[in-house]
This record gives sequence, C-alpha cells and structure tokens, in this order.
Amino acid sequence: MGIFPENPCEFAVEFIRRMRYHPDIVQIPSSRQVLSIPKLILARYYRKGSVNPNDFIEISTMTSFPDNQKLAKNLAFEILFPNYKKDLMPSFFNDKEFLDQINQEEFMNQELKSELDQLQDLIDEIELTKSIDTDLIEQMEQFLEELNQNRDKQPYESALKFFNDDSEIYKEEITSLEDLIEEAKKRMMEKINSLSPEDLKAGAELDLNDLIQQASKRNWEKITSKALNNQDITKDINDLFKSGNFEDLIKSLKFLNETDAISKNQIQNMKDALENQIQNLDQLFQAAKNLGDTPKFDQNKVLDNSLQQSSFEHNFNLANSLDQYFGTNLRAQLLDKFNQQFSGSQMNLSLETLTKNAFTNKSWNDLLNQALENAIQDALKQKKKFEGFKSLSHQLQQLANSCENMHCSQKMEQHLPEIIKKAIESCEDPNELKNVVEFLRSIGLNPESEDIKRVGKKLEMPEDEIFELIEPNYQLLKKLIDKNIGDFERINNLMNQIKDQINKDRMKELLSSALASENRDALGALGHFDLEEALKGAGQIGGEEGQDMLIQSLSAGTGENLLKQWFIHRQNLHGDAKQKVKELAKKMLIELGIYYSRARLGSSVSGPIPINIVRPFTIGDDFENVDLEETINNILEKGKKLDHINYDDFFVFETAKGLRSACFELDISGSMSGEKLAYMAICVTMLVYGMRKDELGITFFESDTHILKELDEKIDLEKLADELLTIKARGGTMVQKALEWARRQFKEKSATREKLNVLFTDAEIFDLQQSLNELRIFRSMGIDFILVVPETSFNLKDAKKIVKIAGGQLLTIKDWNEFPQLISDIIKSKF
Amino acid sequence: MINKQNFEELFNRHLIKDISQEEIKIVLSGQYGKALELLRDAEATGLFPALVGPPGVGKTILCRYFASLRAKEKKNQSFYWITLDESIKPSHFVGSFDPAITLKQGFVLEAFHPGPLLSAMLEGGTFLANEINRATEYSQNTLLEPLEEASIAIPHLGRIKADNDFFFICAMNPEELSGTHRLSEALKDRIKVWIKLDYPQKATELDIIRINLPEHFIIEESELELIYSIIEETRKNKIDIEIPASIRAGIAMAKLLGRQRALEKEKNISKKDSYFYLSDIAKNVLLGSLKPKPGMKVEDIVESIIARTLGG
Repeated sequence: MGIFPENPCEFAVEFIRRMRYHPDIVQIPSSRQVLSIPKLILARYYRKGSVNPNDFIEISTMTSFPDNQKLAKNLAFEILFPNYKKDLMPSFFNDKEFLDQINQEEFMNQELKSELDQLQDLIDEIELTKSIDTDLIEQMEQFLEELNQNRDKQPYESALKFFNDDSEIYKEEITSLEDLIEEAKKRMMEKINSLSPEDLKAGAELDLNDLIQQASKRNWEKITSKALNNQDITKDINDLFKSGNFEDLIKSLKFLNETDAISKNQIQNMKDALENQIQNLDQLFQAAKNLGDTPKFDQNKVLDNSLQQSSFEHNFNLANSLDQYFGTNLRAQLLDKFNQQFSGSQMNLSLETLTKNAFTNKSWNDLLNQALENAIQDALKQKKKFEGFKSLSHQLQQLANSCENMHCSQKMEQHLPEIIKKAIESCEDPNELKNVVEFLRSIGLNPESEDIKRVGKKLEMPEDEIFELIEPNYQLLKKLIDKNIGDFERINNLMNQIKDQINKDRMKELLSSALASENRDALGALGHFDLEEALKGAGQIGGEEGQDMLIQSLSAGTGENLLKQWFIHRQNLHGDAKQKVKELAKKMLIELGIYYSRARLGSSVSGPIPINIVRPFTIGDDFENVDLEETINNILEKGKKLDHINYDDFFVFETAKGLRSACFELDISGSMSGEKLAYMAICVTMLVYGMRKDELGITFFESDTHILKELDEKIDLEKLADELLTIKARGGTMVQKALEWARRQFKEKSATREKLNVLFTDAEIFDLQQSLNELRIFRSMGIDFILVVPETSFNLKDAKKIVKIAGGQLLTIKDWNEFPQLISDIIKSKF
Repeated sequence: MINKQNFEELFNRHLIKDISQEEIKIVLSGQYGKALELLRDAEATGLFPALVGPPGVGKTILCRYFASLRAKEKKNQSFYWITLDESIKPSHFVGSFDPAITLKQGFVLEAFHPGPLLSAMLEGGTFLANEINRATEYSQNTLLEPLEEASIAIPHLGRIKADNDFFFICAMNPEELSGTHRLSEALKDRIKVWIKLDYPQKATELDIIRINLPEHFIIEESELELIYSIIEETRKNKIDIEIPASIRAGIAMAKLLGRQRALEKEKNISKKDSYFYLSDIAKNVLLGSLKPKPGMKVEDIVESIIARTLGG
C-alpha cells in the first residue's frame, strides 16, 4: 500500500473480526460496519487528497457504537502498528492462536462481500493511478530510533512535550525532526490562550515566541514569552503594577517563576512589590495559591478591608485556608480584630457561626461569651422561658459536639452547667420542672441535684417527686411500675438510661410487678428492652396469659425497634408466643412499609404514552391528538353535513401515564442480621406497597436465590411480610442466578421502556466472572443499573468492575436506617 | 397584546428563511473541527450520523452550522429540526391530514400537510432529530425506514423516495446519563457514524465562552481563567456529581460577570475584585447546572467547589 497506510477493505474486515470476538466487547458490532469504514476512508481521501493512520483510527472509532469506541481505538492502532511496544515472542503465539480462531468464523454474507469487492476495485484504481514508492513504516521506525537517542536533548525534548506518547508519532506519520516540530507547533497553537508554563518553555525552545506574542490574548503568556526570549519586560511589569489588574499580575509572576524566565532576585523583588497591591484576604489567598507561598502584605489593611467588604465567615474560611496551607496566623488576628471592632455591637456573631469558625484564642472566647449572653437574653424574653432554655441547652450541646476544635468544644461545654442551671431556674411550675429535667436527661445532660431540690421546694413539690427527678435508678424504675404509672416513653427512657443496672433477676422483678398491676406501658417497655427475656419471664410468672398481655403491649413502642428485636431474638422465641409476636411484627412491618411509601416514594408516572382509546374532543385538548379516521367515521355515522360539524364530533386519542419497571436483588448472605434485616424488610414492604401499580420484582440471594415477587405478580402484603420475617441470613454471595432472573423478568415480563435494576450487596461476590455476561446484557437491554453497597465494608475493585460493565452507578449507604430513604431517592431520580 | 397586522409584519421580518444567512457563532477547533470533518465524510458516503454528548456541549449548534454550510454549497436552504420527546408523534415530523379538507375531498394530496422530515426528504435538505432517544418507540420505529432506505410511507398516499441530497442527523445524550432513555436496537443499527462529543479541551471551551460574550461585556482573561477553574472542578468530581456544569454554565457566569463590569463602568463605580462577584454568581449558576448523585445535596457540593476555587 502506498496511498493508504493499509488496504481499507482488508483493514475493515480484520478490525470487525477482532472487535466481534474481543472479550471486552460491550456491544457486538454490526457486520455492516465493514462497509462503512472503507466508504468513509475513501470519502476522506477524495476530500483531503490523502489519508493517514490517524484517519483510519478515527473512522474505525466513529463507526463503532459509543460503548465500544475505547476498545475500537486501541484495536485499530494494534492492527496498523502491530509491533508497537510489544513483547514479540509471547504475543506471537497468543495472537496467532486468537487470530486462527476468529479467522475461521464467517460474519459477512454474500451481499456484503459483493459490495466490499466493489469498494476494493475503487481502491485498486486509486493505488494504480497514483503510486508512491515509499516505505513509510521503515522511515517512521528509523526516526523513532533517532528520537530515542535524542529524547533528552533540545529541540526533541520540547517538541515531545506536545505529544501524549510515541503512538501519536505513528498516527501522524512523522518521519523527521522537521515534521515533529511542525506538528508540535500546530498543537501549541491550538492551546494558545490556555498555555501552561511548561508549554511556554517548550515553545521558547522551539523558537515560537513571536508566534505566541502575536496570537495570545493573555498578558501573562505574552510577558513570559518575552522574558524567555530574553527581551526586557520591565515596562510590561510596571504597567501591570499600575493597571491594578491583580489577577494578571499574580499569574504573570507565577508563570515567570515557574519558567525560570527571570532571575530569583527579580522574582523576589516583584513579590515584595505585591505588598501594596494586596488589599484583602481574597487577593492574599489567590496570591498564595498561585505563588505557592504568602507574599508580604500589610496585615492591618488587609484585615480591615476584608471585614468591611465581606462576611466574617467568608473571611475566616480564607484565613483558615491560608493558615493551613501557608503557615500564616490569620485566624487569630482576624478574631482579635473583629472582637476589637465589633464587640458589644449589633454585629455580634451567633453561636453557630462561632462553632463553624472555631479557633483557640482569647478573642474567640470573648465572642463566645458575648454570643451566649445574647442567647440567654433571647431565652429570657420568651413567653415560656423554660422552652427557650431547653432549646438553648440542646443547641449548645449539639454545637459543642460538632465543633471540630477540641479546645473550643470544651469551652462551650464549660458553659453548659450554667445554661442547665438557668433552665431549671426558669421553671414556673412542677410540670415545667419535670419536663425540663426529663428533657435534659433524654439528651444526656444531667442537672445538679441541689438545683432541682431548691427549685422543687420553691415550687412546693412533694419530696418524693423531687427525689424521683434527682436520682433515676432501678429503685425509681421499680417504684414507677409498682405505682402503676402508665407512661411508656418515661419508663422506656429510664430503662435505657440505667440499662447496665437491669439484669435478668431485676427484669423478672419488674415483670412481676407490671403483670400484677396489668401495667401495659411498663410491659411494652420491658418487651422493647429485651424481647427474649421479657417473654420468658412473662411466661414463667404469668403463664400464657402473662405472655399474651406482654405481646399485646408491644405495640406501644416504635415498629422499627420491634422489628429489630424480632430479628435479633426470633431464634430464641418458641411456640405460640413466637407466633403471636410474629403476627404483631407483621402488622408493624406492613404499617411501616405503607408509612414510608407514602412519605417517600411519590407517584407512579413516567411520561404520557398514547394508548388505543379515543374519546370526544373537549375544549383544551391538543389538536394534534385528533384521530382522523375515527372522527370521519363518527361524522358519517351521524349523517351530519359539513356545516353542522361541532368540535365534539371530533375524536381524540387518550394518553396514559407510563409505568415504572424495577427489579431489586438484595444480598442476605451471612453478614446481614438484626438491624440490617429489619430495614431491608421495611424497604421491601415500602416498595411493594408504593409500586403496586408498577412492575416490581424482588429477590433475595445468598448462595441461592429466593424470589419474593415476580415483575408481573400481584402479591399480598400479608404474605410478603410473613416471608420477610422468616428470612435467614446465611451462605456466601452468588449473584449470577439473581441477575439472570432479573434479566428474564425484564425481557419476558416487562412492558415499559423505563427499566431500573438495583443490586444491593457488599460486593464480596463469589461468582463475579460468571455474572459479567449478565451485566453486559443488562447494558445492551438499556436497563438503568445501580449498585448499592455498605460504606464501611465492600470490595471496591469488584464494585467498580460491576458498574463499569453494566454502565451503571455505585452508591454507598452509611447507616441502615437510611436504606429506605436511599432506595426511594433512587426511584425518584430514575423515574 | 400585539395586534394582527403588527404581528404579521414583525413575524415576516424576523422569520429565518435562509439558514445560510444566519449568523452562527461556533468554534471549530479540537473535537468540533474533527466532528465537522466526520459529518462531511458521512455526507459524502450517504451514511447518516449521530452526535452523542452530554447536555450543552454544542451538538445542536454544530448541526446548524453544518446545515448552513450545506445550504451555501448546494444553494438549498432546506434545514428542519425537531426535538423529540414522549409527546411527539410521527405525524409531527412526517405530516398529517387536514380534517376539514379530508372530510370534503377524502385523503388527497391537497389535504396533506407535510412535516419537517418529509419536507427535508423531498427538498434534499438536512433533517436533525434532536434528543432522538427520548422519542417513543412508535416514533423511533417510524424513523427506521428513512434512516435505512431514505424513503417513507405516507398512509393513503404512498411511499416516497428521498432526494439524493437528503441528510439525516441524530443528536442525543449519552445513555449512561440517568433520565436518558435508550435507543432501540433497530434504530442503533441504522446509525452508521457515532460522533462522540465531550466537554472540550480548555482552549476550545475558553474560545467558546469568549465568542458568546456580547461585545460590551468585557471580562479579563484572568477572570475567564477563574470561571473555567470553577467549571472544571464540577467535572473532576465524579463521586458526588452525576451531570457536571456544561459549557452553558461557563457562558452564563461570564455574561453575569461581564454585566457587573459593564454596570460599574456605566455608573462610574470603582472596579471590585472578581471574587466579590464570582462567589455569588457561581453559586446561583451552579445550583441549577449540576445534577448530584442520589443522596447528595447540590448546595453542599457547590459550597465546597467555591471554597476550593475562590477560597471563600
């Protein structure tokens, strides 16, 4: 071949063959692509007068499906340059085997072969009429040898900066230093107005400074190019300083520094001169970011200007970045200045702002005190002061916990006792006092006994009530239950507060008391605390009747907690009691599923689809929906004349909303238990209820696949809940069968266009290789694919491979209680 | 409300009759130059292409430019385009019968209003099917014959063969973007050239932003550099962001900054730092330009990008 680097027809055949049988192929290419390639090569030849290897590669790539294009580019290059960077011996045997295998397969029919022959005739004609005696490959290889010997010398080194790798030299058919420099120049010109310092240095070595200075719109490119050309840039620099264009100045300094275009002394002088230019922290930050360190600056001026021009938070963030990355001490100075200028004024900072901008320094402490004082005054102004102080205590506690600076966090915590005290003192009646104490305890804050006593006495509360508030302990809990106090929340909270004090014997004691007084709230709390012990104890004390009473009381607590208790303890529950608890858990599961679905899932729509239903036209209908044939038939049937036709004689197509179609494969292998299973069960129920009008398929898998629901199946929620409550976490993780099931569901049972598949697993999959083909099929079927993994434990490498092949997305989940929310977010974003 | 006479006059004045006369601001360096070459090659071989790329990379404008070149060369101004979605039916692009005339005269040629596809086929013009993968299956099936055979059947009237110069271009977003529908396999097979466009190289994108700025909106090169660095950050973050900011976002930010500069000049106010404006501009533009992955909040992402690039 002379005109063409390779015979286009032979190249196309070889290319398609290799693509079809390549293991990484995503979509099998059409055999008709074998004609498109030579046609386009010929078209390019006729248009440009020549073609080079780059054209072959580009055309092979562009005629391939988008998913195959990366592979196409590499394969085309391999065919054109088979010896490029190859270990010849092993590849000879491997390639030969592979080629022998694929060459046996016939993928072209007679028609295609005939058309290809016609194209070959055209190519032969071109080759005959314009023969060029050249051995291009040999010339390129000779030049590459020359290049290898001179890589570190100029101008080779600079020219090569504009090439990604040596393969580009082949693609552009570069056979001499002149060609190399010419191509480098062309590439540099394409980058003008976005040149890097390295580009400018290389450009200088290639004697392209004049070109750069002519063509560039950027001061820093022009100035640096001039300096690299040993031209005097003093005037340019002075002009820049006078212009007040700070960013151009910084950029110029950066480029001059990184290209070593001027001496270190000159650079330092320029940096020193920046002092007058830097007016605020924004400019200081940009200067530091670009130059790699902070230049001299007038601190007072910069901080004063910054505080005037921007918010404290904005300035603190800048100061923070500067301190962290450039070793300044600006946060302290900024706080001092702010405290000096604005302390006691309206401009005071809130507790939130101070927490976000925490810093160990006296000014910060002063500002905190001020902010706290303001917050206290605000609380005192409220109608219900105790509510104000409750809120303030909670806020201060949360801010202290979230504050990243330990010292500041401690400072805030130090103020908590004072706020807690004020909260107690602000109570104006016994109920308020109880409210405040319980609230504080529920958030982990403990008021002082003396304060409670004092205020309690002031409010004339009975002593035992004061005592209850002061010291919650087992005795107190027992007393509550003995007194038949029916308050689930109170007992539950108390039990959680003193959980270490409650052993099996004490559980029995409390159960005995609760059963005797038929205190259902207490029984409920005991059941939610430890279901297994509670049932056992109730059985021992009250027999079946006792157990029944306990089970009936379980509905007092949250459904989520009951489900957790079920999954944790179900193995140790037996007989009728187990069955009854299961029934209750089932009821809770269904209620939770419905609740989550209503709160989270949204409606079942995915766009209008015309359906074969017509109805009379009404005003407002889209005229384009008129069904002409039905309309004419209607008018003829009515025997109407043209003058008597009304709008309602016209018929229009009805449109319907489309359905959603989704399959879920959920991993229940050995690592899944308790809380995880509870939330997974809630999520499944939520989906089945919320997507009951859609196509929904759900399967669990571990080493086996357990189909819960097929895509077109209607399932009873009760039956589903029953099944969910009996799933067991077991076995290893084998996903291929589950994916195969999902694929069949979509292929055989789905009538919608929008298809979503969600796979939940920790990605420690035993049969990953076998699953890859299924994933390829998913992609070719146009199914949206999402892989959800637990954030703290999953196999990242395998997870990435899965989403790459399936063309999908990888999402992680941090806490199990977020699982239903994440799934509903996915549904809403995909449909 | 505009009166009828004025409307007719203004309508005719503003009507784009000749695409070859339309001013299309386009940058033809980098991938766009290559794409145009490929369109030319495809045209020469009668192979219909598809332009595939994320929103805002310039697919439509490239098609319009190509159509204007064709219009100039072939002295044929015929260029039609339609953006497809679930509500578009084949009658929208093939054509439909006027019910009133049909009632009087039956399904005759006179009663038929040709759609843009049929018009392009008959006139030998260019037809652009934008967002082709949003078309319903019904519409996609209707397009199979024009793509494969360059012909189309009109109910009651017969099958027509397109003029030799007829050229069909498809444009679509990549399939891996969420919310993007999939092209049917049959349609995919009939598209012979797949021109992928991605977010361009920096130099090209800067050029695009420059040419889209009105003349009186002047911003410094360093400000353009800052704007680009913000846009680039959105494209680097593949963990939180599903669809990053497009070229349009960069143009929007440049225009808004240019406007502030123009106002300063107009009101004779001293020039403020670019960061002063850019922080707010970036926030306002990016909030609508990014699509975060499920579970991520766009506000948090935007805040972190602004902190990294502008420091605030």
